[in-house]
Amino acid sequence: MRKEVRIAGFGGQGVILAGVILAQAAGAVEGREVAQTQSYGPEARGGAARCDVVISDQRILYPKVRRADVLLAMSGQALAKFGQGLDVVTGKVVVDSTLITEIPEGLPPLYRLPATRLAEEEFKNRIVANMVMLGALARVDDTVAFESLKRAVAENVAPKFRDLNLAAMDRGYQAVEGPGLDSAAGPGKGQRS
Amino acid sequence: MNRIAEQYLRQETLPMIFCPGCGDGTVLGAFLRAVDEMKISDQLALVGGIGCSGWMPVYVNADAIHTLHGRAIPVGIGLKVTRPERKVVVFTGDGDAIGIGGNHFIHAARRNVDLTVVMINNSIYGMTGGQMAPTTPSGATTQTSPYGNPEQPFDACRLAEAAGATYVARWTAGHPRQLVKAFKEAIDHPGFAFIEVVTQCPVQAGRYIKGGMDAPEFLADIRKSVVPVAQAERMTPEELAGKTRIGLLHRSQRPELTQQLAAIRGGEKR
Amino acid sequence: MRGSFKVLIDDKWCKGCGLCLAECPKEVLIWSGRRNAKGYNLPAEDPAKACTGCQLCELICPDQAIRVEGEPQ
Repeated sequence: MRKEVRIAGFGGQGVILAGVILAQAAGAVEGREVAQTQSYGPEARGGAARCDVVISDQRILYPKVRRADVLLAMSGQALAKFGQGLDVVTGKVVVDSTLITEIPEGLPPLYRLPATRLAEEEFKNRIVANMVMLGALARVDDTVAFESLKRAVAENVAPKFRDLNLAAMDRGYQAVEGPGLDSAAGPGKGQRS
Repeated sequence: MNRIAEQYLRQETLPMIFCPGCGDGTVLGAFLRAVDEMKISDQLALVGGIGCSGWMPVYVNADAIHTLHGRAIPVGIGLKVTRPERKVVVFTGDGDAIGIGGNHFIHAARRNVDLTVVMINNSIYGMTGGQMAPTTPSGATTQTSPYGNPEQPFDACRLAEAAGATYVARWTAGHPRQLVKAFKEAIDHPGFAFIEVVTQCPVQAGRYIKGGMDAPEFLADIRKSVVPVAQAERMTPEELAGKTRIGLLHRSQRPELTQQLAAIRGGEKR
Repeated sequence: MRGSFKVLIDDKWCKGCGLCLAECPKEVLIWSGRRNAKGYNLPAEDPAKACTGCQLCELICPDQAIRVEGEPQ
């Protein structure tokens, strides 16, 4: 089965790293086929940034996202641009509600969590907002197992930041709210078996 | 937005690509204030090289060329020689001016072409991700010098003066008022005028060289590292160790290239 | 300078770098707790402090997002 995930936001939010970690979790950890592509402007901060990950159990013939199954939106601009055209029944959108206050019409089921605010207030570092979002992804969709994401983080992040990133990911897993989610779920529940 | 920016920036090109806290925007603001005081916006011809600083002319409501990496100065020379009535100002970075375009830089100074060259020095290749530059301090860690920079950096102002520049000044992004004055002097100066501006790059230099300083901390650190020239003259070499001199470092007069060329043509105007 | 001055901050262009807070000699600027559309934290004038109109914040702001308005007395 082919699964397409798009992570989009501003440069500096760690959008690309989040996609790389997701790709590693699916490919290196779970041994599935994976294709990861990215797009960003010349600016290191504040420009539009996007990272696409295609995950499949078969060989991937086309490496880019055609219609995302899951969109992680970390800016209003990204939601407006990529939210349209998703499958309103099977598609899923996770938004950083700290930065996205206006929700356009015609979107698939919406999952929300204040990723940037949680990163700033609980982890004193807004740079881990991307990990909070990835944790939420593990909860709302069975794209990859939560444990695989954690292993990929441990392999991709400098040792001194490992615990911080893992904690941020756990927080995202707990904090996300949306259709069909039990709000009291802790990490470890609801994983892909 | 302030009046100067409303008047002189191309609103449709905003926001500027500079990262939060980057010194480039402050330097551009000082430049616009100088242009406003001199009332010369319609005589300007701006040239930008490659790198963050090369984007500065893009936002200004004036004629501008955004050119190849390292080639901002030769494009500026071509512009000045063909249109000597224009006030040509080149915006370039440390890598662009004295790394990739180093040879162009020293020969433009030697020829004493009537250009104003503004070199933004952030001590690193910022846009490409924090690689070591010819201005990176000895021992500094960057993405491409993980064990510390084994080289000695250029002092761009001494290089400019030795090569024959006739106006040389150095300021920092923390001296906007002094920069306005320096821009006015440099643009009025008949010959190769060079201004180095030491700026904070909180994202790349802040992360690699300064161990995670944010913009205000970085700017405070720059201000601590500089000494005005007059004060430096009274200091011993030991006291001056690790300090950078700021202010007007050199000013002289000698024949300028476009005037020499005009004289060869018999002084006739094309 | 004496007089009545106001620091106007343009939400649209501010990138929340904090240089204006550090630059103000009278510590007139504080974090407002508000964010703009890009998620940058916005500064604001502390109502308890009085701006002297020195314009250092306006000069240092890399994004030209600050305008100091007012009349010297």
